[in-house]
Amino acid sequence: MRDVVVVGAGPAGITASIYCVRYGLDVLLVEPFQPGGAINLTWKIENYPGFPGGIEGAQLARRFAGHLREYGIEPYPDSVEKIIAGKPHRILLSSGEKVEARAVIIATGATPKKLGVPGEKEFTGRGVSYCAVCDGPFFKNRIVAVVGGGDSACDEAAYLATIAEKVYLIHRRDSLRASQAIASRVLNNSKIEILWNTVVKEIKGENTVKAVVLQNVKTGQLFELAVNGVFIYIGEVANSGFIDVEKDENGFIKTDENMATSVEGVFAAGDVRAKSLRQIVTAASEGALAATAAYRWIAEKWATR
Amino acid sequence: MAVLREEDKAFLQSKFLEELRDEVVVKAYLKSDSEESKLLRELLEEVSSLSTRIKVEFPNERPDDVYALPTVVVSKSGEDGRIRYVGIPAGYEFASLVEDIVMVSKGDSGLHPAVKEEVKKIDKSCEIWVFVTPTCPYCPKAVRLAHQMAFENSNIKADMIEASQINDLAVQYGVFAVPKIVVNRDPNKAFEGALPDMAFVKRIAQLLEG
Repeated sequence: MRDVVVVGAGPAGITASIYCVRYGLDVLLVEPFQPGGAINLTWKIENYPGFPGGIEGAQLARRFAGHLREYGIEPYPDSVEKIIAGKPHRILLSSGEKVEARAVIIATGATPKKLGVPGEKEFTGRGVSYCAVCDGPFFKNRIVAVVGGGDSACDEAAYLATIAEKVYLIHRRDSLRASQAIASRVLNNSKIEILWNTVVKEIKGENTVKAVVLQNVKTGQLFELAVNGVFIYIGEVANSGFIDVEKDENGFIKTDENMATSVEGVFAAGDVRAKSLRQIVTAASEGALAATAAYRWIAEKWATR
Repeated sequence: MAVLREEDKAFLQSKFLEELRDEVVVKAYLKSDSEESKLLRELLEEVSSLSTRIKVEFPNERPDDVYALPTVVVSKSGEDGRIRYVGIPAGYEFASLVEDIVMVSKGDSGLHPAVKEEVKKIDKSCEIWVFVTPTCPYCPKAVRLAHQMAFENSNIKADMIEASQINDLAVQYGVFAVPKIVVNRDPNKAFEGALPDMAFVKRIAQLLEG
């Protein structure tokens, strides 16, 4: 049996694992993809302390992974199918393996929300994408639309502008939700045109994306815009389907201020948690809190439970 | 000029020392006059300098089944190469190359026994192509799985294809999202996205049947 199983090697899971090792706990970190989680999906990070001038997401992820390595932790390349809470918790991995643990820290992050319009599913992988750093290179000198108005949408629009010929940012409101520093990269970019008060009604094409049907929410007017690609950044839903704990309507896990969930010995940290700010710095801090809470829980409650 | 950073070299050196067992041959078929091939040659020479168990070769003659350049083949010496990289394994894919070298040398794919069993059931000739970009964090998982399958079953060969370098193939197969997996060069036997081990193997098997 393990002391702690940490699910997900983003900034929350990595920090939690480092803290667990430092507390002398035996920890298994489960991660099917690259360590770093959503950091890997971000082009440029400018608000993480210690990196003035900004750092590329992939590069920061490598540093996080290197720090993990220093503590002798190699992420176990698998994903979690189901967690049955109990004493001990039983964790079923998708390869079929089973692991037992005293405490579990869930740090599985979130997945992009779908638009839910006709054509979206049909053209996913044929011009519709949720990952600009993955699929951006296929849109060299082409025209793309980015949907959304938050930090991710603006950041990725700025990234795509370095590759594509033209980027339309389609946003349903009349001002950006993104922080000023990120928004200014979009507002001052001659390759990016913002379509305010506009929503996507349909994605059209033959074989690959050819156009989006848009609607101005103020006037109700429908119009078509020729694009080769559509990148969707309209928010997220939590990756939390594998465990039964208290969650909000989008699956984000509810915790107390020490990251404890509604189930004893189960903690959550990072983007998967119900909260108001999803950033690398908050994820890392929550990972530390969750590890500390798990340590205390094992020390104080495990034997007597 | 060194391609690898000093800290990465030190890490690789100790990893190789700890984990390599048998000799591994990394064969690279290069495009004679390209900058990229020069870089690849330097990279592989540096990797091989980190362990006496890694031999790199740069054959002049290109075998018939090498359909694009550069191509890198990882195999045990004397064995045929079913684990290949078409285009430079750059960015995240460099880690895949390192893991493949370790896998071949150790003689262990590391797949779960249940997944191995599923891979061994494949009794038809199966060529898996995994299109990637070097900046795609989901791609190495798919590349590794395809290579692990090839390692476990001699009916299977698996190629990583770097879509931005091997552009004509990417265009021909309509690659707009990665990882894109194509089975037996059939554009209709394809899917996009990384999957957990068992689901990935079953999907490939299903495409082979259909």
